[in-house]
Amino acid sequence: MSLRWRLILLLLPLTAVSFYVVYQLEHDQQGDERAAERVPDYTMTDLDSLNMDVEGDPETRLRADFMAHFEDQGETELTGPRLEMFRPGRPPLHVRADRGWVTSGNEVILLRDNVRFWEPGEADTPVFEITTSAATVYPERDMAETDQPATLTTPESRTDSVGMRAYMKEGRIEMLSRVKTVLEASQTRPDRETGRSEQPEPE
Amino acid sequence: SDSDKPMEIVADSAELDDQKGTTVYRGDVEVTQGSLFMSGHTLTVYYDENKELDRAILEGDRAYYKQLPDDSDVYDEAWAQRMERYFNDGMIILIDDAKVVQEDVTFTGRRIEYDTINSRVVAKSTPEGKDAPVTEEGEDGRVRVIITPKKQSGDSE
Repeated sequence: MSLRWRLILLLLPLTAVSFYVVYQLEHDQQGDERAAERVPDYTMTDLDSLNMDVEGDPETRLRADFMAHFEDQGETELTGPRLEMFRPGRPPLHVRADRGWVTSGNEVILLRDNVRFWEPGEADTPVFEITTSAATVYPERDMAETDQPATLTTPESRTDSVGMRAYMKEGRIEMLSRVKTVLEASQTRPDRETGRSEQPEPE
Repeated sequence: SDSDKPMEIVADSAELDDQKGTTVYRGDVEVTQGSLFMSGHTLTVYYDENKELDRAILEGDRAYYKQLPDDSDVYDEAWAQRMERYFNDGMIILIDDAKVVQEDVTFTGRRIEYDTINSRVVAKSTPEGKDAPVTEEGEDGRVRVIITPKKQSGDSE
């Protein structure tokens, strides 16, 4: 084998190794930069914050196991967020998730993983409960929504849909597509005692 | 019987309104409960103060209903622009362009009450039948009963 080929065979692995080293160095540097950006300016454990309206009545209560605030984006990251949304004349609506983010100005709360909305009822049975994988809450608009599959459970029924929007104060829930409700037989059997009550038609 | 089975409702979208005590289903609505099947474009389910099912109103062009009576193997079928189902006494009221077919008997009229428990038609036209819209067969809303004569044994040869 000529000298020239022997040199090429020797240099090839060396070139490959040097390319690999350069790539690694660059990659670590980007990683460091990103980590540097994400340093919170303050953190808290066992956060418990109460928001009140102009009359001094409680509006929302936000608790979390851990909270980190990032000044440059004005964003707050939450671990184990738990939210209570107070409503006149009704029990507060409870919301929880594994993770959450609050944007600056607290207008939007993003929730991820094991997201659950419920209104407590008697004997541990919620009046209603909504479960999904991700949701967005707009506290000032008393509204929450998801575009993910969601399940609405009440003592009488279970409804699955893709996408749901809840208007908390009004007690209105829109199920956006592919809706399926199952009502227990006990609900629809004629031998129940309810009379035929005249209820107004919906406008 | 059918009423011992869960009821399933599917639709394109729905809206629950706790204050009004209603849930409105819209778009390709289908209701299934055992052998009972109903379909239409809008279903409004009413709950009473104790959150119990009171009644459901199905609308369609026309809404459709079928159910297998306990003692028969022929489905009862019904059509109407509007069907009101009352959960406490098992009645269904068919309103506007109503038609019920039970084996070889057909009922048509502007308003028919149908007892789903006893599979019995209580045919009644509205009191103001006179100015009711003319139904498909040209009648003025009064109920017509059409009984299809059974074929005599010799007829078919």
